[in-house]
Amino acid sequence: MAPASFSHSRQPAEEQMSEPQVYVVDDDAALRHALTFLLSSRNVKTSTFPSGEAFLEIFSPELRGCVLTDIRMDGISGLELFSRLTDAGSRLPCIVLTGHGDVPMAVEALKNGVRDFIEKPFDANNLVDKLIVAMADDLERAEQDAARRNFAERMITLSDREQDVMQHLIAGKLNKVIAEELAIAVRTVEVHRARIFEKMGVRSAVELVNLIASMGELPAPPNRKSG
Amino acid sequence: MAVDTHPRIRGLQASDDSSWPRALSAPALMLGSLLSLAGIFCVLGLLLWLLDGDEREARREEIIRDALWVEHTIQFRFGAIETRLARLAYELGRADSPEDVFAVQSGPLVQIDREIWSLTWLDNNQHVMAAIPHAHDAQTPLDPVVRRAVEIAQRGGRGSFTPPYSRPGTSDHVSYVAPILKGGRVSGVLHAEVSLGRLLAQHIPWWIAEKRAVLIKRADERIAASRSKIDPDKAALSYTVEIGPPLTNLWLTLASYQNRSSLVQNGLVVAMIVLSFLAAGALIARERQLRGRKRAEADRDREYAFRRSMEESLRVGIRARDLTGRLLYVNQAFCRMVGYSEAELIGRTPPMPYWVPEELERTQRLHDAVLSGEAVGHGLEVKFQRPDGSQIDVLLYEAPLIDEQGQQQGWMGSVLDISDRKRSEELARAHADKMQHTSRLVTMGEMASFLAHDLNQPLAAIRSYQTGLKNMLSTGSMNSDDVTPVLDAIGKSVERAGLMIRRVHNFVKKSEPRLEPLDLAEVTKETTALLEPELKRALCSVVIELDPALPRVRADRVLIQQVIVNLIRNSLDASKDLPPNQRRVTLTGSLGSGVIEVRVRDRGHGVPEHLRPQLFSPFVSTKAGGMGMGLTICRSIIELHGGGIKYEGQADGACFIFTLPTTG
Repeated sequence: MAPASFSHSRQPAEEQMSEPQVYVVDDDAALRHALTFLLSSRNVKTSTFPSGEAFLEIFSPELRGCVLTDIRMDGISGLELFSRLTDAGSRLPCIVLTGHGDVPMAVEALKNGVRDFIEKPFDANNLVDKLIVAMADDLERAEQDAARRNFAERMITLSDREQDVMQHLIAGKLNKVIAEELAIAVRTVEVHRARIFEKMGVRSAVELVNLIASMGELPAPPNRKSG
Repeated sequence: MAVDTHPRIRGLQASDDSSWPRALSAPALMLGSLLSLAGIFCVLGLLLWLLDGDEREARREEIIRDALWVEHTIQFRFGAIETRLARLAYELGRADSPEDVFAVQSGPLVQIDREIWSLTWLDNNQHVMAAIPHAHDAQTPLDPVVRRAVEIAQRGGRGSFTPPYSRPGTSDHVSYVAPILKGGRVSGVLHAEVSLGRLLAQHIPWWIAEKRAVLIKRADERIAASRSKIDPDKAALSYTVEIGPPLTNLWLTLASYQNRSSLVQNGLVVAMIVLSFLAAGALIARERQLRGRKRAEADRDREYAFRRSMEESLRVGIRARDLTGRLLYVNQAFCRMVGYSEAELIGRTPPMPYWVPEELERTQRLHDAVLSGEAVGHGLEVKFQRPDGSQIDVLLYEAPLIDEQGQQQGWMGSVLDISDRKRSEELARAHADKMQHTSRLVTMGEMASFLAHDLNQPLAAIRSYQTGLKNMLSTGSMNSDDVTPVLDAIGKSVERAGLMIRRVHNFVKKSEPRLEPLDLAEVTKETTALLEPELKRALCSVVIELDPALPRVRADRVLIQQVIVNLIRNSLDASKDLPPNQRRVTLTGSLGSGVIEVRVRDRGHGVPEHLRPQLFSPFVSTKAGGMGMGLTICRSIIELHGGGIKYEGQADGACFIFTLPTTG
């Protein structure tokens, strides 16, 4: 392929890469350039890659933003790129550009988890909007991921007894009841409770329940008895 | 009339005419013939037997006659001897000098009657007075029967014959003794000794002696004298008669020799028997031969019927013509083909009724060529016309018609109806033409599809630039330095879109083939560019190794492009199952003698062996759902340019080679 007449650096600096941006993968230099120009007109940062292989080279799971790839390229196809990225641990949303007649392929892509496909020629600003939403979603998802990871790490620190106590707490039981059921002193329950709150980074039983509910890991039926 | 009622003629007819009633069938006829032959044999035998009886009778009568004759002669001779002796005795008795008388008279007597062995004059004392022919011939001593006769003569004074008696060394004799009376007294006797042998020798005429044995026997069956050439015991016929007085005790036997006539007759009988057997044998042999011939005829008829039915059931028309072209034979298939009956065709000479009027001249030419022997061995395609005007295409094979002597009698032709084949060939050709057109349309359609797809690229770019510019305008963040390169980029994309459209347009725009000098390297590159989207989709690369310095070929650009497109597409299809890095089509070009040879090589699955011979025929395809027109079209295009196309199997993959003549 003829090199584009002008282009952004193919190998951006590390700090640039870690910023949320659109990773444009297309073997058509003209289109790469045009898309870069378009996105820059909406203040969206871009990196461009002439092939899927080139992007895979620099890919790391820390990258944020979204991928915009042509479905047909020299070398691996857009779909192949997506599946390899997934294998490499990517959660980046991926929007696929398709040409005329590639719709069945695109549908297949959607089933495999591609976020969206845009048929060429496209409504440019609509494409940019979708990319921006996708980037935002990715950021949000990244934050969620971080929280989840945090939660998981905290859960691991709980001892077995603390986990038992936590189950009862979530169920909204009073300390006294918990003590009876577990055949331990009320005082001991209170100590556990304080440590659980500390370890899980919450200040109250309600916060604990909300946290667990947001992680969706444990069922947290509200127990009105606790008041 | 006579012929009609004659049984033998009828029989002969019956044997030759199978429509005659079975009553006169061959075995009955045979029996009849043998019976009649036996009848003839019997009648002839009877006739012979009757004739034989008659002849026996006649011969018997003849022998009796002869016997009586001989007996009479003998009697007569003895009578004569008796008379002469009596006379001499008388003379002697009366004479004065009887010695002289005896001397004078006895000589002639003995000379005349030569059967007289001796004549002796005895006195009463039985002394020999005189004897003739010699004295020593006189019988001494006298045989008892003679002595007895002498006594009879001396005492009774009368002469008498003796019974026959034996004499050593000769046949039996009979003596006559006559008394010589002198003065009433017996003075002596004359004794004549007669040789019976001489008697027979002297007095049996030759014509009896010739065919009869003559025997004189005594009463005791002893043969006294004989005149015979053979042993009379074997005589077929004999007759015995007693020789009467004065002789006693003598029997005359005549016996016929085995005469020749009976030999001839026996010969005739034998011949008849032999001939009858021969005739019967001949009849039987003839009958066998007839039966064999009939069987052979039946075989031949069956064989003929079989052949006939074979010929009639053939779907190949057969006709035979003599050396002048006159039709001698046609089979049913031929009649069906041309729509004329056998009777209408046999004996016809050219021009034949089934010749197509518009092609009379050509057909006549072909016909003449056949008759002159030029058209032997290879098939001739001719049109025939039926009486209803419909025409058929036939393939003629002519061969000389040789008889068993090795002489050419005419021409034998087999005629194949190839109308259906011709029709389907024409159909296929029309279809191929149509397919070529369709293929072009399909190619065009695909081109359009790819064009549309590819146009999306520059269009999407332009759209992006345009939207970007608009965005910048609306935010007011635009400066002229940023705009210029963007506008340039837009221009480039537009240019690119235009190039794409032009390229496809060139391919699509097409009227009659326009031959022009072409640089194959350039055409190949251009064609590959056309196919680029498709190649990209198939993840296949094309390597072009054509030296631009190669001479130019004279060809129609678009048609050659079509060939290359077809061949590359085939390679793409054949390479589908390969890993992408092996999906490669290589085009190489080299200069041959007056032609450029282009090889399109891939590493796909190749063409199966069994499809290779008809690879370029219509409707032969290795692709599921392939129509099998691609290579047919390629071939017609290449042949249109005076080149050739062929397939060369490779250890891995396929190689198609086409040649195009250079402009030089």
